[in-house]
Amino acid sequence: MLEENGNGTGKNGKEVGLLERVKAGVKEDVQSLKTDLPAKAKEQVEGLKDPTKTQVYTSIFRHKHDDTPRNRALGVLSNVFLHLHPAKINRDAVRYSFTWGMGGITFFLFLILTYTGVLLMFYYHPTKVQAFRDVLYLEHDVPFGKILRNMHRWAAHLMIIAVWLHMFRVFLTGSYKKPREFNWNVGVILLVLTLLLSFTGYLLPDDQLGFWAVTVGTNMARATPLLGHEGPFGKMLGMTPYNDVRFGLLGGSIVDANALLRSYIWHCIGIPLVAITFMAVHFWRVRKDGGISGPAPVMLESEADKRRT
Amino acid sequence: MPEKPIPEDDPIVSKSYALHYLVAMVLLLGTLFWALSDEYWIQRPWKGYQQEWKHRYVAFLKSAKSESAKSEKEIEQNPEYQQLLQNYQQAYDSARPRRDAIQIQLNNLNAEILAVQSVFTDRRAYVNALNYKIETDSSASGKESKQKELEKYKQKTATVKYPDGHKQDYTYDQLEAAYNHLRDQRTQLSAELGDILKPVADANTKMATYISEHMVDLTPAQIDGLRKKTEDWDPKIVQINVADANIVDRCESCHMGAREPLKLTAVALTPKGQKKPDEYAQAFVSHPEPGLLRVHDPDKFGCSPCHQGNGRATTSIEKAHGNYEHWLWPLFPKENAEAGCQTCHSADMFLASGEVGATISEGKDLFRQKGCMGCHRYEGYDKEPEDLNSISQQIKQLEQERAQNIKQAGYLMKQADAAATNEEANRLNEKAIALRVANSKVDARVQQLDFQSHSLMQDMKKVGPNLKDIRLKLNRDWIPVWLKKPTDFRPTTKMPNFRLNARQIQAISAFIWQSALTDPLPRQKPGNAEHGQELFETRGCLACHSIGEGDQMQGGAFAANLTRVGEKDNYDYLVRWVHNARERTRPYCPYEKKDIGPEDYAKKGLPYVFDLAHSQCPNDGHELQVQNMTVMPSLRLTVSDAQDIASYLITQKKQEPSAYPDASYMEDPALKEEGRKWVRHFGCAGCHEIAGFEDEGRIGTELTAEGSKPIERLDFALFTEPAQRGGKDPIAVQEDLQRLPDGPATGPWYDHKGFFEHKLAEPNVYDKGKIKSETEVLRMPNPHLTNQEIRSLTTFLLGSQESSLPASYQYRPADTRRDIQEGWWVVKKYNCMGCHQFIPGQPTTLMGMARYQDPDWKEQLPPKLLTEGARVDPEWLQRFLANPALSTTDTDRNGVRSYLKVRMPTFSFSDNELRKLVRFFQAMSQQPMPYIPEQVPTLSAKEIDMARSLFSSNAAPCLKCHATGDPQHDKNATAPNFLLAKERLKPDWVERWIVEPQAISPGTSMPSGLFRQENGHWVFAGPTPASFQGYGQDHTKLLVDYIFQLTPEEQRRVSAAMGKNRATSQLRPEAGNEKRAGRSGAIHTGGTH
Amino acid sequence: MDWRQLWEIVSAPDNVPIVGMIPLLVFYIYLAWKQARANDELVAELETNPALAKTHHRKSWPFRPGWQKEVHVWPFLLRIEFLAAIIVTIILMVWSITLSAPLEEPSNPNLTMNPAKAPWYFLGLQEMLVYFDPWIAGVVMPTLIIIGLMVIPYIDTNPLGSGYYTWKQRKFAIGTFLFGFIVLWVAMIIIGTFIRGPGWQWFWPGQTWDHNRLIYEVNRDLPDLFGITSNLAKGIFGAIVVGGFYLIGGFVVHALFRRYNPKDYRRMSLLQYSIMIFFLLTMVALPAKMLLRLALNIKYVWITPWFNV
Repeated sequence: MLEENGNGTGKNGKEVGLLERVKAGVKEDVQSLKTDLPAKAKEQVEGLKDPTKTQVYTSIFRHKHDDTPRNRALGVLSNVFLHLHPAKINRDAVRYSFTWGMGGITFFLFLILTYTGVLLMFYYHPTKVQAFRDVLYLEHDVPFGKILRNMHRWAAHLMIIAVWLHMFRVFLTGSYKKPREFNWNVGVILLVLTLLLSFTGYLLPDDQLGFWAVTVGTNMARATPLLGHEGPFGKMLGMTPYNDVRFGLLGGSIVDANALLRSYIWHCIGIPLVAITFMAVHFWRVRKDGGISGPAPVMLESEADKRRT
Repeated sequence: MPEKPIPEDDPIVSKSYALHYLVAMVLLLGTLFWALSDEYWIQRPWKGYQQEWKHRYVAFLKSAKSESAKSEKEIEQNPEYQQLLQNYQQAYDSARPRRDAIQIQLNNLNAEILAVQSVFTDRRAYVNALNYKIETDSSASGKESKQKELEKYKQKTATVKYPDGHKQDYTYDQLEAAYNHLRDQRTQLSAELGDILKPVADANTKMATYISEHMVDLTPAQIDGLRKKTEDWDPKIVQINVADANIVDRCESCHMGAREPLKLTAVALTPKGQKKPDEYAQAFVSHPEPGLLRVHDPDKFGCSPCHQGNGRATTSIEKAHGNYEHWLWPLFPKENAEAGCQTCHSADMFLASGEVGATISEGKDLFRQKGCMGCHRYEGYDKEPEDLNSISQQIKQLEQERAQNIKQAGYLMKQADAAATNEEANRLNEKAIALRVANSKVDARVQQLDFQSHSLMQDMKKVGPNLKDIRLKLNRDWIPVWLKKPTDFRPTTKMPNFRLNARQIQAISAFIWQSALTDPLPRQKPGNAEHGQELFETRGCLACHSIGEGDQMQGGAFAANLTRVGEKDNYDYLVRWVHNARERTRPYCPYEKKDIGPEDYAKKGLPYVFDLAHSQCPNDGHELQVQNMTVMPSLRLTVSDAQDIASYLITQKKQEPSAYPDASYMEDPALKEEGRKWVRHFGCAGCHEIAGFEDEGRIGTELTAEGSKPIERLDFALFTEPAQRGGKDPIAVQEDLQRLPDGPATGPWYDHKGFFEHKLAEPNVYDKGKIKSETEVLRMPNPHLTNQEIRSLTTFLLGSQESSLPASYQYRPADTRRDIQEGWWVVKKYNCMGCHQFIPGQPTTLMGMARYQDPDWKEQLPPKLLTEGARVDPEWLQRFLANPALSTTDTDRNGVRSYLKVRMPTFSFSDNELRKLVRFFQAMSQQPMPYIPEQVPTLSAKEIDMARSLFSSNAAPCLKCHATGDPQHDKNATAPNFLLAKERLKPDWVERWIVEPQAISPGTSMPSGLFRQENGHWVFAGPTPASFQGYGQDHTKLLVDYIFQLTPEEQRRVSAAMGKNRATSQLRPEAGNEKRAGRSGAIHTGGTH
Repeated sequence: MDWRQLWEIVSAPDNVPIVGMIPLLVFYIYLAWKQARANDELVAELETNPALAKTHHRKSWPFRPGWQKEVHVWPFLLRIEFLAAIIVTIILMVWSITLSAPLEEPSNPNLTMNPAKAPWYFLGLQEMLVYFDPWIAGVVMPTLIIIGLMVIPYIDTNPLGSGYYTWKQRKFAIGTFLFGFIVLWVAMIIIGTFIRGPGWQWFWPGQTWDHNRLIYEVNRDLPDLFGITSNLAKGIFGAIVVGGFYLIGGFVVHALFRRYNPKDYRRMSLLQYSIMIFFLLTMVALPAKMLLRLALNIKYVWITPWFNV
């Protein structure tokens, strides 16, 4: 480029000046590289010495990490996962012996189940021909497939136990009492949803165990009063094996391909969606109802009725 | 609370969780590593196997290589190999100068091509890009200007710098031409090089082939290849995936040696210093039957279709082929491995490949011969009664339809008579006529069905004898003794032991005795027992029957042992039976369900005649059962011969018939009804014909898919727990315990194999400890099987599965292989293999008998049928099988081999079975059906003369051994009459036969080497008369044409002439051995001249 | 003693959660009981010492003035939550590595499993099937359980024991809940898992599960015992018995409740009181019916053309 410019220099004096200016400019640029580069490099290194000051860091962590009360509070409030917690809680509420941690464990297990469940979905087809083969495939072929399936299964069982223990603890500490009555009800619904989640998953391997468990389970639906063909008053209302509530549940009169598909959709999409909704309500209400109930100061018998009036 | 001192620092805030976290993190990390190693090693045990395989196989190959090198050296010492080596050297030397020259040229050429190519491809890319621009330019002027640009570019020269240093300028077109020229040159040179090297390569291949053909195992080079492959092996899953059958078999991930080209044994793969082969060595052995794998290519079939087991599982031995309770198709035990054949080959009666197939074939035979299908339905077995049943159902329906039509027609006619108008009357009449026409169609259909049932009734056999005849046949007092325990009387009998109590025995004997026929039986003259014995032993009776007990026993196991027949049988009946076992006392009408007697015929004024040609019921015209349902054929004996044999047999007894305790209670009518109940209860009619039980159904479970029945459905009764956990074997009776193929159970036996084996060894074992009434106890009788028989039947049952494979895996061929399949059913049904050999190496009963070990008697053995289909004209064969005497008048003879003492019996095959048999023979010899006989050219007088001289040549005196029809001559004949050839044989087979009979029927006495190859023609090996000078055709062809045109007169003439010759030359010694020597002398003269 | 049988049941993969749940329950009940006793002692002390009650921080845990009443969630709560998550993960992974989720034969509608069992958490309901018609055990009962759980906060008028463990202040509520949870739910699951063998027959632990076992058992209906034959009479009789149970039972409960729990009695409205009595009696009806069946072989009490109870 310079050369070409040079070709045209003979014609015009002004152009000569331009060339001079360009030359000078280039010289300057080179000089600046010599002086600025080391300085900037030094600055860069200095900046990296404290990564918490970098822009990348601060964009993720929105506050300092100093051990001050403010930062401790911000750490919780400014984190999407932690902000369900208040910044500060009752000093004794961190005691494991009081809470048993079962609510948190249940939620943690729900997350594990979601992650493992999503991974399992990559390998599973809810069809009569494929389902069992896919589980065999998971057992024998998929890298980490076996542990994946096992974790999903055992986490489900563990979650049921955790939910029961959670409910047990909440009852024992009277935590359903005013103003938490409604959240207790949400909890009961979540308990039912947990059981249904596990139950719908039972059929999916399409083996004898699941098949008969679901058959036994859904056979009871036949006997639903009014809505089941074997239930009280069912016949009078025109219920048959082909139009009663069990038929609706299974998508057929026997546990078959349709039941498998329904089970799958309820298990993977339907119930989780409902459960997540209720979980959001549950957690939100914990905060809004004043955090967890205790450990509260004991109330004396003598004060009970006073307070009532 | 207050008791505890309150600490200064707030524990909630000040407590450190560092230790907790440390422990938790260590544990978590540990768990993660555990999970990883679990995934990498523990869940993949095959990796260890493959590691071990590499060590052991490489070690094995090393030792194999040194051995192989040794033997290779030996082969290389061989002069033949040396010759090959010399050839190779010569070829190599002669090719070498030119080869070297070409190779140098080629090297130079390649460098030049490279130089031109680099310039040319660059310029071509530019030209192509420019062309594209021209093509896509929208304006004509633009196209034009670019075209010019292109021309200009093409004219511009480019410089190519050649490897030798010189440079040259080319325009584009020149460059292209130069490039193509160089390439053409290279192609030419390469082709030339190939031509030059071809003889060298050929010679080299010849050497390699020579070595590999003469080496027992692989050559060192091949072994090196294997070793390299093994050493480079990276552990990975080895699997066979057949997508459309959903087979995923990873067996070879551990069983690495299964398909290796070397024979690997467990001992060979055991490391030195280790005494017993460990589980690795056992896992690495090669498949014992490589021949089987060639037919069933593992890449198409996988492993699990034959062996079962969980082909996918690689996590543990238990999951793959152990006793894993949740896997539906556990691996067939080694000793029952042939069950796998049955899962696809259920339609085959005969299976053999190498060492494999004997067990399952025996199982199939036993199932039929022991009469299992009398009680248990099994698809494919005993089809005739089922078909017959459905036909009679159809007939009944049609008959109803006809009656309905007649009634309707009569009604319409009546209405027509009373009709008001003419048109109405006509209309109704027409309707009535239409119904009558419809009835004639019905009649035709009934007739057709009747015809079918004629065949079926002829084919229908029962395993046991016809009990309607027992009053005529048996000693009354013997019956209860027999029923008590048949094996006490005849240890080898098919009749199983029913465990009857005294009351049941009395009732059953009374019922069958009283329900039997009482027709009079003609009295027979006593015969000559001595002659009878000779006939019995030589006519072929022993191919099926046996005689003598224990060590003395000789003969076949297909039919009854006749050692004590004199104690039970009535002489008059025995004569009738020997003369024609199929002769029935009264025909049975399945339509009326009764035995038809003379009174029925008399009513219609018909003579009391019934046989296969007169099989219509006098009452209703339906097909009658006119034969006894036995497979025992007629030997076409004269009545006096039959009397002789019967006289001999009646002497066969250990005690007098009168010595049996009196059983006159059998005449008691009161017992009869109870007996009927028990006969029905025990399903006696499954094997026997019994009056009133002709249409009795089967009483047992269907077994077609017994092997895939869920284990829960097999009733182990009180032995469920012991079977699951092992323990003392429930069978207590020593005799039955010894039937168990693997001996008394030592471990758990809760599987199909255990169930079947125990059930077969002691059928009532699962009743043990249960309280049941006498009608509830298990009915299955004890078939007193040996352990080998139980193993075979268990194998058969294990393989009886509803296959999970696609239907295409079932062996149900539609071509000639189907004829073979169907034919074996008939061949096995009539025990043809007792006398004839159908496949090489198959023993026959007669072959094994002491008598036929004598060289003279060996020639008396029935002919081998190895290539029967290629040998004989199928039409003739059909005629022969229908009437082996080949004559309707002179039946006391063999139609073909009149010289044989053993007699080809008349089996009264139905048309159906005849067709199956003929097709079977054709298919077995790969003969096309239908057969179009070859036209034999008419010979000229000169040719006849020439042929005659061969035919009667002293070097090959054909008529010496072949029968001529002259009784005097035929006494010593050992081969069939030539006059039969024209109708019977296929000319091209005869030609092959006279050239090399040993190749077709090993061991035949027909001499070999009668002809030799000369100038591409077969020429007689003995001296030929002058007339053969200049005859350029096959002598064999000439001889065959002559034989096919032989007339009786010609044969007589030649025979007479030869007789004269022989008389003068005294060529014929008298004693058997010398006679043989004499003949083999003739062979040698024939062969060496 | 058939140890092998026992081991087979206990080690069945799906039964392991139940086996694990038993010690877990015992541990948590112990944990709750310990805290409840401490609180009860504190309450007793404070009741007698009003002065102390005024100054005491009213928790059984130690406290000094100056200690924070509230602590930061981060890090004091979160560190425990995170630790719990790690421990649960470890447990789950070890469990998944060592024990595989069950996978039996492919489903086969023609081959009934014996015993065919529902998923373990529903075994309580399946056990109920022995004593009740499916429409009660499978439909009405679960519905009542859910509703019963949900009404708890609305009928429990006791203001005491909210947010801390106590026994003395909530004897009735906790006793009833323990009865429902431990006896009617957990115990039933244990019976369903370990005791019920082939044919849903009763096998004591260590007794071999014999598939061929036959048991003579004739169950009669209560009306038959009284020689009532006509359908109408049976219906009326049953209605009287069932109605009588609730009436008389209600009266008895009233008599006891009023006497031993006068404070709660006073606090409850009529609606709360009658709902409480209904659910209490229904809970009692369960073991009552079981007793009738097990001890007296009585199948139904109330027989109508449409339903049986």
